[in-house]
Amino acid sequence: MSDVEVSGVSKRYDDLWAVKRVSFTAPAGSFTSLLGPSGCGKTTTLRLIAGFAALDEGEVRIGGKPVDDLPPWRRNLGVVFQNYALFPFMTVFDNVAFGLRRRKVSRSETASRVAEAIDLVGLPDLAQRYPRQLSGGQQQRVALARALVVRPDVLLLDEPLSNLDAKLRAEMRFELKRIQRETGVTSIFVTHDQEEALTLSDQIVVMNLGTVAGAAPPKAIWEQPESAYVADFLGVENLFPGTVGDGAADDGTVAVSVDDGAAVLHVAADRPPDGTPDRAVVLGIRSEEIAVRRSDGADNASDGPNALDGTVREFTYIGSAVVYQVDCPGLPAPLIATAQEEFPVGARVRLHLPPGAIKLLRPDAPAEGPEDRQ
Amino acid sequence: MTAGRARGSGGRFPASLATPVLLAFAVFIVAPCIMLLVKGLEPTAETGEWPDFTNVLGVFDSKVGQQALNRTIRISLIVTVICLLAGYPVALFIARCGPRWRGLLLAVVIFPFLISAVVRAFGWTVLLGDSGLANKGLIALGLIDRPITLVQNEIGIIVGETHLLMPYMILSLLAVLQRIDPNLKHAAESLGASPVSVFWRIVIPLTLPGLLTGTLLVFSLAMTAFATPFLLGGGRTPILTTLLYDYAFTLFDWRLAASIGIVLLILGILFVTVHRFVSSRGMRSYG
Ligand SMILES: Nc1ncnc2c1ncn2[C@@H]1O[C@H](COP(=O)(O)OP(=O)(O)OP(=O)(O)O)[C@@H](O)[C@H]1O
Ligand SMILES: [Mg+2]
Repeated sequence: MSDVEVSGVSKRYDDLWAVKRVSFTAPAGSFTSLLGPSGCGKTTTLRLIAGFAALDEGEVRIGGKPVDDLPPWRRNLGVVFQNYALFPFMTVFDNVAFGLRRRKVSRSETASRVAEAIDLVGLPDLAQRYPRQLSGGQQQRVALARALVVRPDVLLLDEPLSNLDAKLRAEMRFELKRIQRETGVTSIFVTHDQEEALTLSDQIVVMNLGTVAGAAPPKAIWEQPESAYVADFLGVENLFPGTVGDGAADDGTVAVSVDDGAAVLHVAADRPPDGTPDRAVVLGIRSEEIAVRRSDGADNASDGPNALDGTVREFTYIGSAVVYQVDCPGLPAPLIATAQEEFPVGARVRLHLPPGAIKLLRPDAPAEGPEDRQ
Repeated sequence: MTAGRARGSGGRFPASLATPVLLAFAVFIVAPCIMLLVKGLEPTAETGEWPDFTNVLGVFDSKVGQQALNRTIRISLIVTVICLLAGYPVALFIARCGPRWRGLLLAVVIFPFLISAVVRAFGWTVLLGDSGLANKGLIALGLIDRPITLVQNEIGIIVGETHLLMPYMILSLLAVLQRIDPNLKHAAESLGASPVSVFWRIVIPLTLPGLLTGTLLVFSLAMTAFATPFLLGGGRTPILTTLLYDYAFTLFDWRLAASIGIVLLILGILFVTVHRFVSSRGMRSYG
């Protein structure tokens, strides 16, 4: 097993930086996800690691050795493509055996290793079928077997689950996790699905416009995202710009004014996050952490800090709960909150934002705007 | 090779849309074939019975007929092989070019279609003549001392037909080359295949359909070409089509001409059959 170090890697296509000074390390045997919206440079990063495209700046090291001078066929990697890229004119057996034959592995060893790989990915006996005779899920497993059979130092996966239906995707997620644990291969996994990234990874690298916006283990990135962008991408529905007030209150909270003081929220934090200019921050809270109940109209002080009255603007039923859009005076946008109880549109509700659930986030530097990509 | 696909989509395709063309095909292809058979198999003597195969078999008996037959097959094969070997690299190169260059190169490739057979033949006569550019070049390179005959013989026919038919091969290959998913090449590379290995094991098999279409087109067109061999072959190198012309329009022996037509028809059917057999075996995995 080898670790992968990507340091300061850039790639320019015609008039834009597809990837700009991207750095991260995937420790040996770990599972790292590259997470980001479409076009943010995830595939390009993977292609640079695999050597399918030449990088313009920076360096990639695999197992401590720079690989920039090595062509793809000398890097000993396994790659699984979004469209699987199975060789259409070869049987499943020949597809899986392709890498072994290029390595001049003996006939009998090839047969046993192919069988082993097919077994590992949980494929039934389809060795003599052609790819077009397989279902999407089966093709997916063949692609995995083909990449793993050569015992690669690193496994690169480009959105391998995105072509599968929801049920199969959930199933393959577990399968991927199992296969990665059994083989222990260092894996780099590209996805734009935060749930996939959270469930599979040891480390999540969030990308934005060709750059790395944050990298952390799933739990850390879920609980304290590095920046407003990362929080947004990890499904923090409510994000408001605010300014941190002077001094901490007795209860260990700081007062943050939203929208030039139209509302003040108390946040359980002793200081604003590092690198926030002029104490400008972004407040973030997930919908499920906001408590919603019917408002009795009275100003009940026992509700503690951060009790806001609002009007239900719209709601959607999602099965496990109801998601509300609530207009609150003093906030620049409606709050998204979830509750079990049902309230009609126009109902007066009282929202409670626990000070411990509100995150103080670093606003994104304006330098990361799209114009910087040219 | 396309038959399977056509069959697959046939269900949704309204048959009525195809009827006019199919009818025209029936009238303009089947009817002449029947007339050809009737004429060619007509008995020679008044008392003879229909069908009479003596004329058709006579094509193989006479020296000139035998030679023309051999020459036709030989030239067609040589032209097909040259088109394949020379056209493949060109198609590869064009497929790899950016869109702007590709358009320009494609225009160059189909240029032979835009000039009439007579002008093209005249051009080659000038280039390949005793004092033409080809001979001068070969002499300048020291490959020959005296001009060699390059035109009014088989060489002339081969050069002319290759020039004419090359676009069919290149366009057939280009059609499949451009559809190759680049990830297939990347997948092979990541599995340890060098570029040479990727070419032989991935690119060639993936272009097999285009390769087969190209050879089918070039071979059958080479076999039935008339104007180019007529103009570049001179009188001493008859092939089946020019011999047919001679019988029909200088000897006015329609029966002999029709016999040659039947031989050409048989050759064509034979080639298509062999080709279909080879394709169906080679393409089993393409679905
Ligand atoms: N071969 C190329 N030529 C020109 N531009 C390219 C090329 N490949 C990628 N790009 C550009 O680089 C940017 C990043 O592309 P990339 O494919 O890495 O995105 P991605 O994060 O994988 O997106 P997706 O989730 O849609 O697959 C995009 O703006 C894309 O248009
Ligand atoms: Mg991509």
